[in-house]
Amino acid sequence: MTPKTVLVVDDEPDIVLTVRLALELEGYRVLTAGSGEDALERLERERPDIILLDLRLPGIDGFAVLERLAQNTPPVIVLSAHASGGAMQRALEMGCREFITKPFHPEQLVDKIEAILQGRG
Amino acid sequence: MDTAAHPLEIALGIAFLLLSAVCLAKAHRQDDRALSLAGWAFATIGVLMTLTFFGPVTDYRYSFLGPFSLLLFLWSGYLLLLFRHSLLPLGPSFRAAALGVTLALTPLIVVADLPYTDDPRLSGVQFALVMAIALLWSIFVGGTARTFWREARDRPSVQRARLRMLSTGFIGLVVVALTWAGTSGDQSTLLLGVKLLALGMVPLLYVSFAAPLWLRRAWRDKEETSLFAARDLVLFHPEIRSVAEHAVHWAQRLVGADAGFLISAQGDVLAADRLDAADVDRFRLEDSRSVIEVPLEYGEGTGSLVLVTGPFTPLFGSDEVERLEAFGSIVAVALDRVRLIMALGHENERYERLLQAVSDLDEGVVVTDQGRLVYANDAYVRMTGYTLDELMALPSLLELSLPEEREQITERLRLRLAGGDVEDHYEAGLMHKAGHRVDTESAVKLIQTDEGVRIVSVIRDVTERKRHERQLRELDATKSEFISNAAHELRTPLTAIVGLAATLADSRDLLEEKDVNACIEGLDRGAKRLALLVNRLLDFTQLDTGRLQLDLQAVSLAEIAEQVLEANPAPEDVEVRIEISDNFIVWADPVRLDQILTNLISNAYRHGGHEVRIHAERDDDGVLVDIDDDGPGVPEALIDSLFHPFVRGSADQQGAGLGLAIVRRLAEAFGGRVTYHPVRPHGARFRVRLRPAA
Repeated sequence: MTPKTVLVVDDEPDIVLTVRLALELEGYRVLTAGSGEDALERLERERPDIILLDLRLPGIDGFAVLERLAQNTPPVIVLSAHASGGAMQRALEMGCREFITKPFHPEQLVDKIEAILQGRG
Repeated sequence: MDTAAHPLEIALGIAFLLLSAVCLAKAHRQDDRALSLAGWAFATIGVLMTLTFFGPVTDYRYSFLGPFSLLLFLWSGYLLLLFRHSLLPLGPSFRAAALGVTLALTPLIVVADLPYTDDPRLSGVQFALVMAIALLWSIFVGGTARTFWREARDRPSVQRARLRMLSTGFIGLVVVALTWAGTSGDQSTLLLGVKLLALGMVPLLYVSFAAPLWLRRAWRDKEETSLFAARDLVLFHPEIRSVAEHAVHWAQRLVGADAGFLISAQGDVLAADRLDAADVDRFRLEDSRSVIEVPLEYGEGTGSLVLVTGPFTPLFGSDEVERLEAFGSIVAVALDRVRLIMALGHENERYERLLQAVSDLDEGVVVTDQGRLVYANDAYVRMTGYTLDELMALPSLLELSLPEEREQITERLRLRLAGGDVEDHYEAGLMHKAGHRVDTESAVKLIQTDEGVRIVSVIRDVTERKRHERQLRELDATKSEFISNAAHELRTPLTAIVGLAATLADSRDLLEEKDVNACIEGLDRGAKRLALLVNRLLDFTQLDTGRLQLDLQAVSLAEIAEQVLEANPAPEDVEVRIEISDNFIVWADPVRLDQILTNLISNAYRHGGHEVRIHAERDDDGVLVDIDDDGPGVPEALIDSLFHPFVRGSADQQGAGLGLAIVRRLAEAFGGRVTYHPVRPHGARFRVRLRPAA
């Protein structure tokens, strides 16, 4: 079975580290991007199974990334420090599948990813 | 001798005796001492005249007649003087002198043995005696006439006419006496004239003591005319006491009374003229002949108008009483009128007070009739900025409402007038004359008046309150945003700490050595960042609320700058130049100044280029410290909010987003300032202005 690929888009190196370690331990292949532009560029070349997207990014922000994702994009989970309902609602309306508020426990993240991937499979 | 003179003499005698009888009878009836004195004086004159008639008839043998007539004459003068004294007292010395002279002349007359003939031949001494007596008589009687004439001057016309008449009679007598005494028998024509004049004086004196009705009315006529002319002024005065005063005054004038007072139905003395309180009480209690009481029937009950007659008051007959009663009924009407006016006045006063109270309110009160202003208090007028006249001239107050609200207000008004269920309280804006908006809160009620429906609105200016509410909301929003931002900042390091700690705890054995190290380093960074963030938040909130404790003192700028550079050495690719030429001593908290410079210098290291320059100089206002770099500078879009909390350059991931906000507030707490200036062609300059210590 080929490992599932996850693209982590976040400008905070320690968040990327945290998510990468947690997911790699679960057997996922982890790709990372430090900005919105970075992420969109990577997506042109690669096709991850799921995208983890931060909303506050240097340059174009998470919402802009959501807007520019292709029609048949992989499912997106937003990881945000925004606790307000406004951001969550907006992100969900723009097509993200899950909205996880920081801080979160790695298990919580893994559970959501698995649920989405299994539901899809 | 002229025979025509003789019947005249007997007529004179009879006339004076009759006058005397009338006076004495009246004096007896009225117990009037003055009048009885006058009566006795006229009696002596009457006897004198009668003797003059009998003289020639009885021939000259009754030699006693000469001195006796002269004695009668002398004493008649003294009696007339006493009459005057009983009305208007003489000085005691004058009175004593008068009596003395009269008494002294009496024996002289007897001794002189005057001949009594129709045409006596008098010796020089005898003539002198006769002339002295005539002169004395003239002084007594003429003086009395003069006194009466003068006394009449300031009295009611009724009394005046009487006194003048009396005075004229006395003067007539003096003329008669002097002429008679100085006339010899051959001047019979002159003597006849004198006797006729004397006869003419008798009716004059008679009416002055017992005036007939027609004459009393004639005397009164002048007062009636004045009263008629002044009746509105005097009787319809709006004040009850002055109505009473006028009533007393005019009643006295009408009948020639000396004093008077007016008592209300409750027994209060409303007015008293020429009487003090004790007099009034005395007259109220005593049933005196000299007092006339006229009942006053008016709304409150029966009061009375009381008049006190005086010695010069003419006869007081039923005509006078009737006249006074008629006058009394007018006074009663006037009293009723005043009471009504007073009652209305009280009502009016209450209304005025109410209006005044409404005027003084802080809230505007407005009464409108179909939109047009009927009443507005000062507060409303002030609220609009217009004058009351300008507001009154508006076809409708609706013109002051905001255009966007007019339709709604009109509709609400229509509903209200139609009896619909409309909320009495609402908020609306109004356009101030100066053009700005005034926020108001109105309470509206309809009132039914005789002239139709009026709308009463109580309007409160809530502009200030709204502004406060807006400010509070803004402040609240700022606080919420701050808390939300602060929470956001805390979430990032927390996420790393929670995640990395969980990974280490659960799967440490599965991790490679370098990943374990990465985890531990990540935890360390997260914890440090969390600590930094919490410290910054505390600093910021303390600065923001003015609770940060500062230790302000004179500080050497160069020393602090060196200390900062030692603790924060430049990265390898950055060159720092420090240009602090002088030993600037500034007023600051050294720890906090260190914090400011550390923050700005590390920013320059992080965001700048390869060169950082620290430069200080003095200007008129203080010491300027510039921290310049040759980096890209702060993006245009960020400049305005650069010093706001949680605003940071996109590349800045390490800070809490509070650094510059804190730096600015710290500098302000020292009395200084931090500003940003772009550097051409590229670069950033942060300028710290500090107060010199001296």
